[in-house]
Amino acid sequence: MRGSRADLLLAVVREHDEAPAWDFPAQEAAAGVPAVQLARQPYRTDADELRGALRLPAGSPA
Amino acid sequence: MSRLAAATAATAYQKEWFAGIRARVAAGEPLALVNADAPQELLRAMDIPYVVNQWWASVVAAKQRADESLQVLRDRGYPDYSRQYDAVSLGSHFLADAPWGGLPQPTVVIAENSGDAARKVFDLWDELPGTDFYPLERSSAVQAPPRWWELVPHRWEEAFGPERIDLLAGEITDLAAWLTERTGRVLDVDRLRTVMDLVNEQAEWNRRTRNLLAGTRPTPVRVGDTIPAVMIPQWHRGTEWGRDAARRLHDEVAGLARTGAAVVPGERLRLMWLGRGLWYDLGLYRRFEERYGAVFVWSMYLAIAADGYLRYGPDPVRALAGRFAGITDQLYTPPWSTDWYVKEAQAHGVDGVVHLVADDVPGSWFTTRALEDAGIPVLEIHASNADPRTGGPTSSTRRSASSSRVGSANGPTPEGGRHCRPTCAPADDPHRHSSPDPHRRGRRKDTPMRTRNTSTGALGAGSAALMALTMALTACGEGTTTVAATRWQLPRWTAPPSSTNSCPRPRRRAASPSTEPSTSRSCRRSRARSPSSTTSRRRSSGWSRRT
Repeated sequence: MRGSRADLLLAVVREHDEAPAWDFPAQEAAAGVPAVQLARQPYRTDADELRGALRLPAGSPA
Repeated sequence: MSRLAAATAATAYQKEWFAGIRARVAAGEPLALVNADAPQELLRAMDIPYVVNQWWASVVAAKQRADESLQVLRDRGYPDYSRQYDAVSLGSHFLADAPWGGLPQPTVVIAENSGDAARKVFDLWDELPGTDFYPLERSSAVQAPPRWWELVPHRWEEAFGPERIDLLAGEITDLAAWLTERTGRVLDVDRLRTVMDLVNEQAEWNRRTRNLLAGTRPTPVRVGDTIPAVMIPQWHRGTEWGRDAARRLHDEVAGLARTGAAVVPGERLRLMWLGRGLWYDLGLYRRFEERYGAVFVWSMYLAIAADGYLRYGPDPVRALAGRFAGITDQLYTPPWSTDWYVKEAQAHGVDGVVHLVADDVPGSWFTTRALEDAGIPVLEIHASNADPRTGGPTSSTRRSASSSRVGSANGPTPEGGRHCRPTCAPADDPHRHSSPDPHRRGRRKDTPMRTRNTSTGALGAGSAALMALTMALTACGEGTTTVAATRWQLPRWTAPPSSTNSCPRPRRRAASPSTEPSTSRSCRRSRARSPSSTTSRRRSSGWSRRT
């Protein structure tokens, strides 16, 4: 995170792969930047949902 | 029919015992929280008080506090939809007024690393100051001996393979030293041998009881009674009380069988409840009796107590490893599990199976398929047994939404229910009469025994019959639908005014030759990680700070 100077941590957790969701609070605490999790996601992520999670305008590159 | 004295006595004992545990911990003694698949006999031999995680979760759920417990996890950012049966105890630890005074904070937590997420629940326990976690490796079966239930009491080394036994025996030895470091208590191998002997005696009584019930018609006891009467003593394995409780249960069941007692006079359907207990809705079993004359004659709790625990051998540590190296295989790894479920279904002469399918239980698809391939109808209910949001008693009696499938895969209905499928076939519905005889055991070529994929065309000409089969048990006149959709058409049923021992139904095809229980009643029917524990630790999420 620090090396990339990321402004936000986005965690995408796939449906039926619940283990990473248990790690998110620790990752969020360690990140030092705002963090958001998309849990139980289908294996093909909808781009508009992703933009919404990131609060980006619809149609913008995600 | 009144409740089994054995069940009442076990429940009363457990409350007294738990109060004693709380007092011992308050006085400074250590406490272990262990998963059901961990070798609890070691703790018994070391005189370390312990509570079984699944038992405590069942208490919390039965007291309708599971949702609040999961809310604790939600509030801290953890998933509330994952491993609920493992996680409810953790959440309940932080309830202000937890049931039975609450579970004291454990000194140590012990569990097998099964699946990707279970370990993470116990890592969170480990982050609490004063609690340490010992993870046990989960080894996998590479062979499936036929009729393992006959093999494992004495030939467990052959059944599971020496490599798996070596691994777990080493871990048990390492765990004993780890526990000594934290509690000061030392393993006495002679004491462990005595504990193992008591466990085997208890399991032999359970086997007798299971065999007796398999051959008794009508069923004289409810699974709602046998579950606590078996499982509370199960969590006291290795004590004289546990052994004697199993014997008392047997004697009580034998007495009821002799007198022809019946849970449901005029028993119409014999059902198998396959899966964990639905702790937040234990009334479900009785609703089947009252509405449909159907009785659950089987649960895995007595059955696995009968077949899953017997291990004889001169080395108690190795025999203990033989008990737990493959206990998960016995229940959840096909064909170990599927062979056994089919054997049990046939031995008990069940007419059908209600299969509780939970996200955190592996192998369910194979279980259903094996039963259906054996000609036994299966209804799948998709829900967590510990999370009432996935199928509590409220949702289970609501009017059905027009969901097209049983289960939660499509998420909750707008009303919050998850289980219902279209039901309430009108009396003149042609499907009512096209349903095959539910007592027929052979599989008909024109009647695919499938409840899944009901909307696909793969079933071809059998689809009409299939739809008939998938009609739910329902109290149509009341406009409500039960959680228990099945393939059978049953009008609402009224129990006969007096108890009878009659056997109104014709004999069915003989049960499998593998059936081992005898038929004793006059109304019998023949229907049938490395040993040195190199697992790393994780202490980073700030769980303890948040609490």
